[in-house]
Amino acid sequence: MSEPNKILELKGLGKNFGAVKALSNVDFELYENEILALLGDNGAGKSTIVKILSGYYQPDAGRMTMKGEDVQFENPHVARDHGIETIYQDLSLFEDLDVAANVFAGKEVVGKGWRKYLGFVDRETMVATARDAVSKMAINIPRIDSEVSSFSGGQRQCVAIAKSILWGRQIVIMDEPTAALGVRETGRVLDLIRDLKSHNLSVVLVMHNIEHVLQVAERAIVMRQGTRRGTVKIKGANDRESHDKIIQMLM
Amino acid sequence: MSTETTTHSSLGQKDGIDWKRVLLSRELIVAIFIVAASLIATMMSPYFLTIANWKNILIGISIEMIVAIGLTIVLVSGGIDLSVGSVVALSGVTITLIFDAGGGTVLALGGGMGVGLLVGVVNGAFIAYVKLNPLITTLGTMAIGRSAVYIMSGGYALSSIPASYKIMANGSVLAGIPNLILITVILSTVFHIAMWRNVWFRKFTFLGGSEIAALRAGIDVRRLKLAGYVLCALLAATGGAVVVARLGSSFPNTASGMELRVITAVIVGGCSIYGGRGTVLGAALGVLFLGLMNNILVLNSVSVYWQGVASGCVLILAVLSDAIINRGN
Repeated sequence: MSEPNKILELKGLGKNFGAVKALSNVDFELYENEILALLGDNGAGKSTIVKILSGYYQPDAGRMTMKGEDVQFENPHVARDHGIETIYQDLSLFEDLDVAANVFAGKEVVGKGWRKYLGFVDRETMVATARDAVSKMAINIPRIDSEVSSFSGGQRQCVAIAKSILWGRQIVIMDEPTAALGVRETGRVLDLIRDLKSHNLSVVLVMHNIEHVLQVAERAIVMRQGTRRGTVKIKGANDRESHDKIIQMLM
Repeated sequence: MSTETTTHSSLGQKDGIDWKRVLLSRELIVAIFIVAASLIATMMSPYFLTIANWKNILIGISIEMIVAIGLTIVLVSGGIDLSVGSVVALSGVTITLIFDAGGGTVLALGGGMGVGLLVGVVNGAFIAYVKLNPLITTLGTMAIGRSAVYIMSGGYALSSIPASYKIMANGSVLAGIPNLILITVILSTVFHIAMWRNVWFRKFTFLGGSEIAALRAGIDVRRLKLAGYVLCALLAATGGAVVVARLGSSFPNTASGMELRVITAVIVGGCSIYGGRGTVLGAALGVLFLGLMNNILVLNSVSVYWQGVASGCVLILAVLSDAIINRGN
């Protein structure tokens, strides 16, 4: 138990777009039940890694293992089947639909008996499950049948995170979850991220804001121009040493 | 932080009916307008509240209602289809020509639906797979379709429809209700329930709500888009099959301009022009309301030239109320 297990490992990862080397010989590892921050300037390769992890890009070089077994994500469905959920910066929510419809989008529960025959969704079960998922979270949703368009930024995050808790069995990747939020809501969303950890999930955060990273992440990988600059273990929100190290690597 | 969480918990997850949402739903608002307009019309004209007049109203709007179902699907999924009026006419003229050539009902109906399928597949393939703009694509197929109707009919009205076919629309199999009204009500109900509850039909709402989110939810958006345009064209072709049965002939200018009238009604009924929102029930109520207004204008001897003014004002009022409600949130 001294050394935690790696849930996901990438070795010698490379990705080119024409003549542009987006990633060259990058190693990446994620431990079980860890909150990892992925930092770097624009063009450092963060989003390329995220897209490889979620199955949108195929790497040109390197190998990927999950819990020690070789894996290949040919498309986003395969990544999902491996229990990896991605929450994009735009959250991919349907504005005119309510919480249950959003949480179950594309994975609807079909009713039993004659309903199954007609392909009717089982709204009661979906609403109950969605309600259960959001009620345990640090941000509250005023009404489970409200349309998402009336929600605040934090409440939207709550819906997106509830979705990934339900469907992500292993890893949740979050792209800039705090980018568009105010101070109060940011605090709550960081709580939600800790919620993910308490559900035994591993979390990869793509973040710009170093203060937020220090508050929530346990480890940070810093990227620069398509290579891995270094790794920092974070001991808490007031860990100035890690803060300075990260700044140094980013420069 | 923990105290904050607990106070929020007490606010959370209210149950029961969200009355504000029900009261502000477009379906209810349009229904109230329909009742109000009917009350006023009853006071103004003794002919309004008669079975004969209501039969006229419902028969008059039935074709538009069938077309409105398809347009609801396309609009909800974030697209638009201007070719529906041409498809109605194209299906009608095809059916008439097949009867003219001695074909039977099955062949005629098959031919009508066949041209609908063809236009739907062309629209859908260009829009979904070649990623052409739906407005432009269907503007093109609208022009081509209408032209084809004139070419096929030689510009003449054709009326070689057998009586056995006409009876399908004008007869009655249930309690004296004209079949035409029955067909319309059944189709609307089936599609309304499907869009509301069926796993596959609900995907249209996802597609229109956010294409990228639909893609990420694992929906094959291209195939779904294609399916939407095919369904819309097939429903328009059904409208064409019904219109020739009702009139006993097909005219080259049948359903000319219908696409805009139906789009107006569907939007009045609460469909978003940006996709993601709308119901078949709302669309049907929108068609009924506009049909009712025209009927009231006619009963009060107002020139038919005023009908456009009335429906245009209703459309703008509907969109305006949307904007006001949204700004209120």
